[in-house]
Formats: sequence, structure tokens, C-alpha cells
Amino acid sequence: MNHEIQTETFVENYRRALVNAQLQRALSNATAKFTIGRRLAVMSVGEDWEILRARAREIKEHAGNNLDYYLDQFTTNVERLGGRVFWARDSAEANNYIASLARERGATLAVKSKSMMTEEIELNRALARAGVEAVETDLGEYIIQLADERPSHIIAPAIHKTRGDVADLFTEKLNFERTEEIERMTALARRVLRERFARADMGVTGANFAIAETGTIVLVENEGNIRMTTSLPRMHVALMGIEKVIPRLEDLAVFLRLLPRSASGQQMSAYVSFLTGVKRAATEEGPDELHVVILDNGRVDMLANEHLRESLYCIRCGACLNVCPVYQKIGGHAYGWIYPGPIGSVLTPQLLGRERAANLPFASSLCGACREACPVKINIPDMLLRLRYEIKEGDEADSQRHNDKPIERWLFAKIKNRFAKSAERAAFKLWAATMKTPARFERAARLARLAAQAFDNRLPFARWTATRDLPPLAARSFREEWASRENKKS
Amino acid sequence: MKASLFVTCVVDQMFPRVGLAMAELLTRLGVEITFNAEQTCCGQPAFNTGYREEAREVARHMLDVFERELETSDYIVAPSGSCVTMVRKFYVELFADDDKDRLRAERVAARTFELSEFLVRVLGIEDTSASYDGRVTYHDSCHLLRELGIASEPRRLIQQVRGAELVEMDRADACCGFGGTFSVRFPEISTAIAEEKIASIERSGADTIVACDSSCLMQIAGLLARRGSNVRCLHIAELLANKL
Amino acid sequence: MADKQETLARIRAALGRDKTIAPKPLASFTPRAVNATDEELTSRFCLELERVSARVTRISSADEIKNYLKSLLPKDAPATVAVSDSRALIDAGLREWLAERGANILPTLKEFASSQSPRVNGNNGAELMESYKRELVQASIGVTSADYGIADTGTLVLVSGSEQHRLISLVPPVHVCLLDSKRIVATLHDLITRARAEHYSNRAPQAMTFITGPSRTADIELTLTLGVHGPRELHVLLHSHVQ
Repeated sequence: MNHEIQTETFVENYRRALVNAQLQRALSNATAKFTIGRRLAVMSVGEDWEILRARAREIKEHAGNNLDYYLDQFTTNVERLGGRVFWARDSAEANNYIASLARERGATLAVKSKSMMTEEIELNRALARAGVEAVETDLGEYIIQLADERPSHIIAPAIHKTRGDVADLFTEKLNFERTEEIERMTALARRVLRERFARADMGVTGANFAIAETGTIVLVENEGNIRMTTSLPRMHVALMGIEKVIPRLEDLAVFLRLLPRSASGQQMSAYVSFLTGVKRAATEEGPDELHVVILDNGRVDMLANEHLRESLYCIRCGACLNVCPVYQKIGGHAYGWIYPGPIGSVLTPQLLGRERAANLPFASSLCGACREACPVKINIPDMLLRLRYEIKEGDEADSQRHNDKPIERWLFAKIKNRFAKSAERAAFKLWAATMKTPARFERAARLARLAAQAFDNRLPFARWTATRDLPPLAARSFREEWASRENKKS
Repeated sequence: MKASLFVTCVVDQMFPRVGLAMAELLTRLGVEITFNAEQTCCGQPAFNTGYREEAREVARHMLDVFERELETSDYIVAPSGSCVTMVRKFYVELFADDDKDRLRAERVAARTFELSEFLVRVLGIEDTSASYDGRVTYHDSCHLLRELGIASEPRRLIQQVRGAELVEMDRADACCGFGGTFSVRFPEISTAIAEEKIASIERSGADTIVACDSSCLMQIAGLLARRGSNVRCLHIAELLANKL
Repeated sequence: MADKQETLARIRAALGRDKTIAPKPLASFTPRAVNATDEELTSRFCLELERVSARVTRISSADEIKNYLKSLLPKDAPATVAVSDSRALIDAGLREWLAERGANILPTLKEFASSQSPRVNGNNGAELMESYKRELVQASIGVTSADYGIADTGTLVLVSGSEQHRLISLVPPVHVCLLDSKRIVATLHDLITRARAEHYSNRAPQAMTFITGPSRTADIELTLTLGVHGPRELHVLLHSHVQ
């Protein structure tokens, strides 16, 4: 495992995951625990749950449809209260800004809280190149950083690791006497990270919510590492996608009831910080400098696509992962990038490019459990269908575009790939022609039945029959049976 | 009352006994039924794979067939929550930019029902005077449950079957892993998901598993058979048509 | 490189308009009100906090705060205790009492500053903060008060401005928090409404912190472990106007 994007090898990834017994145990344990916890927490809210979901949806739609207004309001307030705002179009711009900020201030150590946005732009690598050590301080993220891996779950990054794995890591990387006791390992991490917190010049966080009317950043956590990150170092850098802004403080009364329950089954996370601006006197707590980095990184395109706009409403609770039958089996790493599960299959093709993650939208049985679990009622199945369509349209445009390209492009793999793609399209064209002409449909069906019999019902359906039986085809179709009955009657 | 059968291509070609059972059941309940042999497939395979234009071509043909049927029939009834979802929900989306076909789709959608839904909600029948001998567990098919919102209707129908005892499996609402082309595009994932379903069925102690969609049943039966299990798979039409 | 105007212009284009317009705000959202007596709210608050492994004790006099603290102080060695500058704690005479018992009291940053040299105090407090941090990590107990409680979730709400709470409630392994039971509201919605009126109507406080139980993690095998970065113990002392 490493940090390279592995969306293109999705099939190899998931095959590896399916035969990894340890991963299978961890996944079934974790997803079951999260699902039950969530269900109980939702039950405790009673019928108000649906009212809250509808309201959250309404707020996100309203914020999305007026994003220009609310971002303007939010950033004006941040600056009014002494913060600085940096607008980044992509990861390079964001990374460069933060790295040069560190250089200018002579920062050599940054403590980080868990943030999907910093994963998305690979901030740690950029900081390392600039000579700044970035230390993850969320316990799960710290474990993942020591192991040099990617998180496998949005809210529980290290669920694929056993206590033994963690003990090995701590022994090897931190030179501690080996213990598998979770309490003691946690205490070790506390001790090591305490020292980093004390020394760090810069604290880097994401943002769960950004309140336009007050310029407040809201951060939700359980460990206290975000509170440390935002109150000990003299500089706080908060990264957020453009979609994080919500209009009013009172909106938090909705989202803070939904988020912890959906994420971890808690009524409330241990800590929620509402942070507004910088400290106002030398003898106040809090950072002297606040830098809010607002990233587009493909989000404006999402906003422009009205079929996919609602991907921006995600509050990163991870509930859709836990209830997804596919995620439950293949885990987070198989998806090949940082956003796994159903929402990942929607976000990744949009953020990395549809051609780079072309398998992901298809890797769903479209069961709809994700939509049911989503606290913001995001219609993930319909967006997966939409992306499938856009990917096929893209293939079509692609094959037309490349027809007159130089011969070098016709590498074997490409030809094979293209052949497979156009063969599929041709097959569906033929299928459509068959299905809209009943006589052809009947002929084709009869032929298929003969073929199936000739091959003992197996060979043509190998992708089915390798793992499952196929029921023997009926000797006569329904229409044939029906016709003969009608004949008898008359 | 007249109903036109929309048997679906899967039932037509692979499980004709399900279509015949539905015909027998509806006739027994006093519904006058017809079948238009011009029908083919609802278009879902193409739609789900991203080929919307191809799906539209087929959908237009099916709308022609259904409209003709609705001239003489009151309803279209299908033994599948998934194909009914396609007609009721996705036809309207497919023709979002085409007022004429969208209106046609909306009219057809309003008259198209899944079998258990039709029996309970339209006919108001829960007791179909069927009888069966066995412990039956019910699998919620995803489209039926989450797109059409049908969960209690099939269960109420099963509970009225004499001699049948309904036993709930854990996670009855969990997907069987079929998912149309998903099942052949990613067969290992599809099967791994089905294994969980099989385990739930086995834990329930039922000897019969009933569902409202033949494709889910094909997936479940395919794996049960590979495992050498004795659990019987029945479409709800077959159970309700059954008389000892 | 992106800037504000360029980004907002692209967002407007994505939304199909060429000018930013102030939207009509969504109508306010009022969830069902909770009808509960003060006592019911207090009981609920206690119950919820206990569910998240906090300890809640109802007290009726300043002496009881002291007795409670006594039980937390190490028997053999003098302890370092960080005490916030909240009115309630000052009124209770806590610092004097702790000093009498030989505890080393770590005051707030402001008080700490007055005891430091001008050199330490210069440079916008950078060095001051460093010295304070070094002291603070020695503390075994942090004592603060809370501005509000939320009954529904067992949440303590601490607002900067009324007291210096951020580090004292976070860095020491034990956090003791005093709360006036009259300041317990029923729901999160009630809290936000009230905090907005009392603290956010003019200039927002730099930090408002919700605390619901001790610091926790479940990052290793989903096994709940307390005290990962913040306090391992949270003790809440509920009073109604301690004299």
C-alpha cells in the first residue's frame, strides 16, 4: 500500500481485499458496530429525525444555490476579525500558499488534525518538500501516517488495522517496548504527540462547517487533538472546500444533531469548537494568525452540473460507507483514493476525472441503502446512474476524437481497451434494436436458449457461473406458453 | 377489472412459471388479464449501464405497448419491483427533456403496479386463499423497498397463506448483491454480498425464501444451489398461486 | 492564481447568474419545544453526562467544591492545579483554599503575564505563551466553570470572554467544571438561540467550546479509550448559586 492513486486498478484492489481474512473480519465488525450505533442514535431522536434531514437538505440546497453570496459574507467576516483568506483553485495553489507561509514564518513542525481536504490535496507531502514536518494527531491518522498508508474509512481511518498491527508499528517506529494493550498504546501516542503539540509552530485543520453570518469555523471531534491544534501553535491554518459554508449559527442546531449520530452513533461528539478570528490580546488564548484556505479543486464544476450538484452537500459522516453492501465487502482502500464507499464513487470521478475512476460508479448494486442513511438525503444512486451515463458519453466522444490521432496512440492496451468499450456500445445498440422489435427479440431469445443448451448452461455465462449456479433455462418462454394456451382456448 | 401483464424479459425467458403463476393468481382473484406479446424489456440494462439513448429507444417501444394496453385495461401489473421502478421512476427521468414522451411516461407510470402492491393497495386483498406447507422468510428487494416503498404488503400476503409461517431473517432489507450488470461486471463482490444474504436465510431457519423479484431470486438460488442447500426459492406469485 | 473575485465569478457562472444577489433567508426552523421542569432538565443533563463517562455531583456550598477537589488531589505530593478566572470560582475562594493546602496554582494567561518580565510579554505574547504552555503541562487538574449546559446531550458550553477556558479544560488530565444548574437549557436549539443572543449579537467570541464527556477515541479496533489527548476524567459540579 502506498499513496499513489489506485483507482484504475480497482478490480485488482478489490480482489485482494476479498481474500484478506483479517480485513474481512475488521470490516464486518466495524460496519456492524457503526450501523447499529447509528440506528440506536437515530431512534433516540424519533420522528424528528426525518424533519432534521429535510431541514439539513434545505439548508445545503439554499447555501449551494447562493454560494457566491455566503462565501463573500463568510470571508468578509473572517478578515474583519483578523483572519486571512486565501482562495485556491487547485491543490498546487493551496499547497504552495501553506508551504510558503511556513517558510516565511520559519515553521518547521506542523501539527494536523484529521481533514479530508488535506488528504485530497496531499498537503503533508507538499509540506515535507518544503522542509516542514507535518504530524497527524488524530490517533487513527497517526497510525496511518506511521504505516505510510491512506485512511480506509472517512471517520475511522485505521479500522483495517488490528491492535497487533498497531503494536508492531509503535514498536518499530517509536522504539517502544511492545504492548498490545490498547490503553497503553493510546497513552504512548498521547505522550509522543504532546511533545509535538508543545513544539509545533503551525496547526492545520479542516472545517466541518463555516458560518457565513459570523465568520466562524466549526470543528467536531472526540479526541481533543483539534482543540490542541487550534489553541497551542501560534498559527492556525484551516482548509475548506467552497461547499462548507452555511448561512447561520442556528443551522448548527440541525447539523450537530445529525452529524455525530450519523458518524459514530453518538448523541454529541466529545468536543465541538466554534472558532472565530484570532486572539484579540496578547494575554488571550488562541492563535495570533488564522489563515483560511478556500479550495475549489473541481467543486465549481460540480456546482455547475445540476445532476451532480448535491455531491457538494456531503458532511463527511461516513454513514453511507457503513451501510453499503459493497464497502462492507471490499473496504476503503479498494476504491483507490481517499474517498471510499458510495459517496467516494460519486466524488472521486468528479475530482480526479471520470476516465481515471471509470469503474467506481459501476461498482454498486444501486441498492439505495446509502441514500436512506444519508443525513442530508443525498441521492447517491441516481448520481451513480448519472455518472455511468456521463462516462459512456465520454467514451463515445473519446473514441470519435481519437480516430484521427497519430499511430503512436494505438498502443496495444489502448486498442484493447477501446475495443472493449466500443464492443459494449455496439452490443447495447444491437440489444436496443432487438428489444424494440418483438419479432427480433423472440428470435434472439430462441437462439440464446439453444446456445445455452449447447454449452451446458455454463460457458457463455462464465462471469456468472464461476461463483454461482445458473438455473436451467425453461424449455419454453412465457410468451410461447401463453400463445399455446390462447390457441387451445380458441 | 382488467389488467395487462407486464411479465418482464427475465420472467418471460427464464422463469415463465412465475408469469404463469401470476396469471393464474390474478384470474383466481377475478381480474381479467391480457398479455401483449409485443412487449420486450423495460430497458433497465442499458439505462443502468449508462446507455441512455439505447434505453430510450426501448422505453419508447414499451410505452407504445403499454399505451395500447391501457386503452382496454385498467392497470399494468408486473412481477418485479425493479422493472416497475424503471417504468415508474426512470422513464420519467429519461424523457425529462421530451415533453411528449414524458407525459406518456407519466400516464403509464400512474397505472403500473408491482404484483404485491397491486394486490394489497389496488385490489385490497391480503388473503389470496393460497396454502403452503413451510417456514417462509421474505427478502426485501432493493428497488421494491427503497424506490417504491413496499415492505409490509408482501409480508401481509405471506401471513395469510395457510400453512405458511413467516419467519423474519436478520437484515431482510440488505441487498442480495445482484444489481443487474453489476453481478457480471464484478462477480466476486456480487457473490460475497450474496453470501451474507445466504447466511441470514440459513440463520432464520426457514425452508423457503420468497421475494418479489426474479433476478434477486436467481442470484440467491444460484448461490444456494452452489452450496447444495435445500432451501427453496419462490417468487411471491408462485407462493400465492399455490394450493395444496 | 485564484482570487476572491475570480472564484466568485466562476461560482456565479456555475449557478447561471452574473451578479451576486442577497438571498431571502430560509424561514426559521423551530423544532418541537421541550416542556420540562428545571429539575427534569437537571436530571436529564446528569444522566446524559454519566452515559458518556463523566461524573456529576450536585453541590450546595463552596465547601463542597473544596471537599470534592480534596478527593482528587494527590495525598502525598503537592499538586499543580490550573484554575480559570471565572467569577464563580473566584467567589468560591478556591484559589486561597488551594494555596493553603500547598497546591501550586497556575493562574490564567493574563494573571501569569503580570508575573513575567516585559521581555517575555513582548512580541504579541509568543514567548509568554511558550512559558505558560510549559507550566500548564505540569498541572494535574484544571478547574473551570461552564456558561451553559444542554440537557438533551449532557453538554457543557464554555465561552471565551467570560473566562479563559480553552487550555485549562483541555491540557490537564483531569477537568473539573462548575455549572449553575439554572443555566441548563433543554436542547441544542435552545442553546444556540440563547448563545446567539447573549454572545454573538455583536462581536462573536473567539471560541465557544462544547464539551460532552472526557476525551475519547475508538481508533484501535473500535475499542473505546478515554483520555487520548484531552482529559481522561471529567467531573461536573452542579450548583445553584453557591454562596
